[in-house]
Amino acid sequence: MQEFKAEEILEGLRNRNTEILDFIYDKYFYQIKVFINQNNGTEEDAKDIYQDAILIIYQKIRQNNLTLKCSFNTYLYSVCRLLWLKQLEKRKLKQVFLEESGKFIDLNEDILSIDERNERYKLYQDHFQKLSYNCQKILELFLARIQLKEIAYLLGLKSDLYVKKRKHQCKEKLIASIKNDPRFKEITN
Amino acid sequence: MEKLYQNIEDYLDGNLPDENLNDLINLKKNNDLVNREIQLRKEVNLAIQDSGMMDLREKLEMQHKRHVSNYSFIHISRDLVKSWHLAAASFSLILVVGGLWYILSNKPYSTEKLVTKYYKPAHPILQVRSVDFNSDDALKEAFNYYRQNDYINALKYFNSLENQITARFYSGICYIELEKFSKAIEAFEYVINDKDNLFVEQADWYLGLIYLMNNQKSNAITQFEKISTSKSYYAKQAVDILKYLK
Repeated sequence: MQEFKAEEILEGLRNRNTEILDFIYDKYFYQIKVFINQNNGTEEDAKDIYQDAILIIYQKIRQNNLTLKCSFNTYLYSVCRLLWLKQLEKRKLKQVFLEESGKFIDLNEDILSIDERNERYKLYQDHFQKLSYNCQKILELFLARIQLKEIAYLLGLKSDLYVKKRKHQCKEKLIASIKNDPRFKEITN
Repeated sequence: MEKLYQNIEDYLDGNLPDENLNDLINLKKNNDLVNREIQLRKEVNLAIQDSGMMDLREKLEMQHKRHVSNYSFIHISRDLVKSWHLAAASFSLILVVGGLWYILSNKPYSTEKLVTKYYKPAHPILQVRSVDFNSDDALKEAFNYYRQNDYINALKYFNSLENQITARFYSGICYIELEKFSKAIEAFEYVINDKDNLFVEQADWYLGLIYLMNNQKSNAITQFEKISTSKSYYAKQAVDILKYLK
C-alpha cells in the first residue's frame, strides 16, 4: 500500500480525493472498529462514527482550523473516541473506563458542535436530494444568484415569474419534508 | 402562515420590500418561533449549497459498500472452500465461468444493447418560447433544426456560437448522431472542464456512452465509475452499466 504523509492526507481530504479516502479507510478503519466493538458498539456504529469523524475533519480543514500536533491516526482515533463517548452518553451506557485500541489526545468542544451541525446538514441534504431533479436545479441556481430569466432559459421554463413560483413551491416542499422527518424533532430539541 | 413564509424567503433572498422588512425584523426579535423559522431556512440554504459535504458523504458511503461487498465475498469463498459443499462450489464456478465466457464472447452485442438501452439524444431546451431572447437567434435556429433531427444544419448554428456552453453541449449530441465521436468528445470535455454550468452531469453521461459506442471499454468504465460515485442524476444508471461492463 502506498504511504502518505500527514500533509498529503489533509490535502487529499480537502479535495475529497478517492485515493486518500481509500488509504485512510484501509489503514485506520479497523482500529476504530475494534474500539467501537470493544465498547458496546456494532459494525454499523463503527461505520457511522468513522464517517462522522472524517466529515468533521474535512470541515475543520476547509475552515483552515486544523493543525495536527500528533499523527493523523491519533487525531482520527481521538475524534472517533469523543464521538463514541457522546453516543454512549446518549444511550446512557457511558463507562468510566473505555477499552482503548489506540493512542488519543484531548480535543476541544468544537468537534461536538461541528458534529451537531453536520447532523443537521445531513438531514437537510437528504431531503434536498429526494426532490425532483428540476427542483434541485432551480434551488441551486437560485441560491447561486443566477438571474431568474437565465434560470428560465437554462431549464426551459415559461418565464421568470414561473421560476419564482416553482422556486417557492420547491423550497416549501423541502422545508415541509424536513419538518416531517422524526430526526428533525430530535435535532431541534 | 403562507404569507409569513413567503416574507421570510424574500427576506433571506434580499428581496423583501421595505414596508414588510421592519415588521419581519420586529417579529424576529420578539417571536422565538419566527426567529427559529428564519434560522432553519437560512441553514437549509447553506446546507444545500454545500456540495462538498454531499459529495464526501456519498464517497464515504460508496467506499463502505465496496468494502462490505468485498469482505462478504472473501468470507463466503472461504466458507465454501472449507465446507463439504466443495462440489456445489465447483458447479457454481462452472456456471460463473460459463457466464463470463458468454458475456465476453458476446461483448460487442452487449455493448450495442447497452447503448440502445441508455442513449437518447438530449431534449432541446427552449421548448416553451414565451421568453424573448433577441441575442440568441442562432440558438433558436439551431434548436429548430435539432428538433427536426437535421443535425448537420443544427451544427452550423451551434458552431457559430463557438464557446457558448449550451451550444457546445448540443453540438456534442449532434456529433454523436453523425457518429463523429472525437468531435463529440471534444465538445463534452469543453462543457465538463467549464464546470460551472448546468450541463456537466449530462456531458459526463454522454461521454461515457460515446466510449461505449466507440468500444473504448476501459475509458467507459472509468467514466461510469466517476458518475456512479458522484451525486449525478445518472449515478444509478451508471452503476447498472458497470454491472454489465465488469
